[in-house]
Amino acid sequence: MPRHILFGLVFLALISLVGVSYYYDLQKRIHELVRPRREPAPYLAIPPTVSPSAPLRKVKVFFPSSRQDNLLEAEEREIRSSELPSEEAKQIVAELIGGSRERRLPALPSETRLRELYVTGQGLAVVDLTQDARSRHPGGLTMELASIYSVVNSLTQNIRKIGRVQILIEGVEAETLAGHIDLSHPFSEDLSMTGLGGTDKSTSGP
Amino acid sequence: MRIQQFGLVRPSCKKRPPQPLLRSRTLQGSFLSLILALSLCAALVLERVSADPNQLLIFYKQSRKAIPKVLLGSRTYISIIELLVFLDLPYSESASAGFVRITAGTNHISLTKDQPQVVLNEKAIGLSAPVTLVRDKWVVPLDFVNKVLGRALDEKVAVAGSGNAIAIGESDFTQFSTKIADKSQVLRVQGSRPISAEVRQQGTRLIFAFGNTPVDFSGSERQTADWIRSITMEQSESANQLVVELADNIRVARISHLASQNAYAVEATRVENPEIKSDVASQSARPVVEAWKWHHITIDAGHGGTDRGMTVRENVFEKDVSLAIARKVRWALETRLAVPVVLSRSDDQAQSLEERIAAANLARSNLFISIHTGNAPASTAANSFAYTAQLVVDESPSDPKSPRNLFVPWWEAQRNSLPWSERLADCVQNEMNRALNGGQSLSFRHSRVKLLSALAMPAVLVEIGNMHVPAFQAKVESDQFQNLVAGTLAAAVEKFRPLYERP
Repeated sequence: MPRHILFGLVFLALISLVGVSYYYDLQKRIHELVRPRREPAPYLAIPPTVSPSAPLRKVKVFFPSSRQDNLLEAEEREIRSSELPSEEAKQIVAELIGGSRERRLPALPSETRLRELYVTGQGLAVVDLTQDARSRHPGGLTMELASIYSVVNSLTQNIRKIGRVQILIEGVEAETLAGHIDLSHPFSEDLSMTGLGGTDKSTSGP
Repeated sequence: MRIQQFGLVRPSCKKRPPQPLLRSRTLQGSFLSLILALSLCAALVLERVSADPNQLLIFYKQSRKAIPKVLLGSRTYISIIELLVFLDLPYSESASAGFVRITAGTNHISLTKDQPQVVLNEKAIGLSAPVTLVRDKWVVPLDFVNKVLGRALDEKVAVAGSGNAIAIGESDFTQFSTKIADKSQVLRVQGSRPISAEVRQQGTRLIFAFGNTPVDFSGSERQTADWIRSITMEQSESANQLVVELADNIRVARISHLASQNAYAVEATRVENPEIKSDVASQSARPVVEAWKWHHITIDAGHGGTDRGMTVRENVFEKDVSLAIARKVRWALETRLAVPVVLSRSDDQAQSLEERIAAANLARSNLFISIHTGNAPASTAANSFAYTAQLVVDESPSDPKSPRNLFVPWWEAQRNSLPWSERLADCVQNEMNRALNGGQSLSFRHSRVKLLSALAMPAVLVEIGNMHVPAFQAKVESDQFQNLVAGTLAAAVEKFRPLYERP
């Protein structure tokens, strides 16, 4: 067979191969667009960029407690350490959404996904959750407080560079999570509910 | 034709001979009949249904929502996305690809742009007009609701006689009519099925509020009476009520709920001095304690409308319980303290936090109590707590001359009233500890409650019990428990009043 014909055939074969693979890829994308995804999505819309060989570190993740004395109780988990606080924070939020392993109540509805999380230079962590955090919340002021401070305390307790936490829903400031607590300002750590209960009784007059 | 023949309206009558007297009388009779017929029509207008023809009111699971209608040619459409959000059905849509996919439990509905049909679980169902996009909004013909959604949700769909309301999950609307007795001044509101309404009087208006029960007003058996000015059915997202406008000199003597006959009977009497009015809510004599210095107290029933709050049991939500308790608190405060009470919502209507805040601030309400039921993680304790606002401290360095330090931002309007709110919360918490918390010594709580921080008056939020505790869940709907809560809150306000009113 002449050499130029051989080159031509090889070239055509390569083009066909690329074409077929492109066709299947396109078909797969169209299917994904048209059909709702059945398999459960990962907790994080964008996975953390941590090395799988990075050393593990222990963290305390807070969940609503069914005991009367504490609103929140900590569970120990392991995450991959990273120099970037946002990457560690993403893993902590994923653990929170994943739920308790010791039969405590969920901190956030299991359908919630973390859309984005970043930490500013002033120590403010911005946690952007999907609408499910609000629409599937069981309701009630105390439960709403438990959800908010599960996120806030879990981040501030484990990551020194995080001092305050701002919660967004679908990328924007939300009024409340379940109709009560103001989400428009950042939250600071509050460990009183993890061991101390309510505030002191006010006895002073106006 | 007859009028032309008699030549009363056309100039050509000049050429005609003078009309015989008898014929003129016949004509007069015709005119009288005409006037009578017109009067009857006018009387019929008296009983009318006030519903916005540009909206479709949908009742579903103890809530209602008005969806705007869109007129395209001669066809009427509704926005499907608003409908799906109200029904809480997940969906995906793409305007560019021209499809909407809806999931209703295990059923799947597919809509394609410009197709006069939808696919329900791979089975095509024809519609009266094609699905289309109007200003990037998906719209479907009206028959989509009963032909497709009813099947997908496995619920019956009932349509009101006016065609402006639909009830999903109901076999039919409860038809009701009014009948006015001739001489005895009795108005009877008759339902086709058992009806339950909250009856109240505002001035000369007697209101039968039906909440979220799908009702259809089929009119009156006798159209007019000199003691009733008008009977109107107001049916919209904010109201589902029958309004009877009484004449000035009419006083309501008694209202009876004839439950076995599915009816209400209103007995009225004429009074010589029309200035003296009765109040339905005060059929028993109200004890007047002393002149109250305040304008009024606002009682806020938490949640409402599509915001259902937590679920108490199937088809009963926090919004229903909080409204029932709020109504009882109003009654308790009005009777014990003789103080006017305004409910932020007297019906199951959606109200944003801003709307509640604005209404109370604009009316310069003197006290604000928001009622919610609790849902705490602890499964053993069903304690009730009072909450006050916790204002966010601005940590940025502030300039004493900055506007922030000269004016109070509206979202921090609670700042000046917070000490009083804490006193009120203390009174409420102490009373609740005694009556609801088994004598425990619990403290009220501060929290960043969005509603409270912008109120410019002493304000507390009360969280009653804990829905996680089965014993509480069982009793929270009972009148006995709700009356206990109402009495407790009234007692707390009673104790707070002398503290606040001290010179």
